[in-house]
Amino acid sequence: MTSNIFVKIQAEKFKIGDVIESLIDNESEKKEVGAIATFFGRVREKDNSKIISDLCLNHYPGMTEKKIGEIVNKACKRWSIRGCSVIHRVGKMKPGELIVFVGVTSSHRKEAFNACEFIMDFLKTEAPFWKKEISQDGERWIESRQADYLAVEEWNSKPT
Amino acid sequence: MKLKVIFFAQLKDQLGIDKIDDDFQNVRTVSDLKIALEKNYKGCEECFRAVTVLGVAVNHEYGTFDTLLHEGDEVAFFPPVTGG
Repeated sequence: MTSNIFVKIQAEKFKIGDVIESLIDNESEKKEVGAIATFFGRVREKDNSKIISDLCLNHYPGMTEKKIGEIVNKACKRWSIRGCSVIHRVGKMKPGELIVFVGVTSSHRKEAFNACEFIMDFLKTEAPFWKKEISQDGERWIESRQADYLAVEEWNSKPT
Repeated sequence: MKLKVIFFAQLKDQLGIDKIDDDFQNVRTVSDLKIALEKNYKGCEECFRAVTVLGVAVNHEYGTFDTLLHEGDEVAFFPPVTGG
């Protein structure tokens, strides 16, 4: 059972270095962790040819934390991982800012790589967030992508 | 049946409200609730129709239109999620 699980939904910005450091902030983890895999998602300035000035993230408080917790638990059952952090921002943000961080620690690299990708793929289709982009053309709620659902189907069809 | 109904994303924008607390009559499932909302609240029918796939959650758990409802449940309606 993985005990070092951290899930946070926040409006505040976060820094790459700080969140990676926090994955191995105690002495026993410093000695046992052999691999750290991370994913950072950022706000892109261009969507097709449109210039995005702001991205607004709406979520379902309570359900979001619950769903991400369930996704992380599924990953913990599937792979031997030592720790996991998920940070997702909500509210208004600018191009270049970080939106999401997923970090996984384990003894060996395969588990960390796989679990990190798994968590991110499921977060995309199961965590209740909605993005609205604001550009010179006005406001637009972003549509979901078929590719994200295919990624999850692929995990579900793989033997555990 | 007293229920708390919440709307997200474009549903919230289009309706101009984010929640409805009401005592619904003859509502047993999510589908019954959807019909009651469309009948009694202006704009609901149009906004439900405008989303490609209408998602629903009952007490923070994804549901379907057949999910049974109980007194005091929190029911959320939303378009497909787009986080990450």
